[in-house]
Amino acid sequence: MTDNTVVLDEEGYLLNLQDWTPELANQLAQDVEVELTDAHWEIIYLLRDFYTEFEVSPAMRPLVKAVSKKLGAEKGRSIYLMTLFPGSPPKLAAKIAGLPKPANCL
Amino acid sequence: MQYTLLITGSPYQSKACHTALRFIRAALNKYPDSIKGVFFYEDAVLIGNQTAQPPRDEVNLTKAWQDIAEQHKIPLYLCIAAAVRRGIINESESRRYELEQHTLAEYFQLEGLGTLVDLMNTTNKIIQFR
Amino acid sequence: MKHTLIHLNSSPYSSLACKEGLDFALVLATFEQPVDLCLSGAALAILTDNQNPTAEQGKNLHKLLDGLEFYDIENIFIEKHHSWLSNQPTWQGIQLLNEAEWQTMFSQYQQVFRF
Repeated sequence: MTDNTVVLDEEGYLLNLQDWTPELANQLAQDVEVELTDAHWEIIYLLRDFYTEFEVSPAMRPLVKAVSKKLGAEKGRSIYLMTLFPGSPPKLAAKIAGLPKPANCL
Repeated sequence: MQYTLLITGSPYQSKACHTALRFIRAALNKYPDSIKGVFFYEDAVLIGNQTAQPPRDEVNLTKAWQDIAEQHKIPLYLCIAAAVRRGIINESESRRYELEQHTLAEYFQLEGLGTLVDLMNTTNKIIQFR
Repeated sequence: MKHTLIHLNSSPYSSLACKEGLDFALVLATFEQPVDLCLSGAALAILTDNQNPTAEQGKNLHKLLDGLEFYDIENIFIEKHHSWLSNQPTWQGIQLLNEAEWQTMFSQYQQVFRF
């Protein structure tokens, strides 16, 4: 279970973005039964950089483009991100990376 | 020829909701099927606040829009992100945010901006009131 | 498919108008709708570099400009005569239009939304 001193919102997103640590990411991932590998971590840090740089949590399309640009076209595919973060990669990855829920992400 | 109305002006700081109301009445009067839906964005979402109480001797805008929706079966959409940040909350959002009340007026519904994109692609024109 | 222009004319820090206008642009792009931006009036303030707004002042919308490429939003137009902009460091991705180009621009879109 996630440490009680860290406050999450109703959907499991961090309320206070400064609370994020890599250890917390591991806990958040365990809560949704995802085992974090190096492949996950490079996406998590890419997402955190994206948010720091642009102040927005990306939806699927911009996330795919950003991954493609930074990590290569092989990884910049939604199917690849789906295998790492099943369901909705932008939402699940944002949750684990300690970012706000992507807006208007249907 | 079907139109979508996009209203972005605040019901209090602008006449956008009033002007759009006059437009939609005139349009429906002449062409009953001419309006597919009305989408409220920015401060215009405040139109969907059921707890607002306008003075008795002023027009009740929320009621006027509800009458349009009821009589002509026209959907009234509020952008969910714009509405929730302004406290216009339906029952499911109320549960999601663990609140004790909901404030969304009848006949209005919370939808993502994707619904506006959909309206945009299925009607001839969008007319913005701001 | 309709080609959309989002016209920002409001101050980025006086209201949510620019923020919500840009949010709409991002949603259009996310749904693969072609969308361009143009800026005028107080909204031009988004372009100046070295902005550092506090939380009370609002989100730093200038930062989003560099992210627009990931949404395939590639055209951001302003009118050339805003010479005060050339006196200070500004975001470089803009396209300058002369007065005639600026005026014909608006008729090249199926729809224009103003914020």
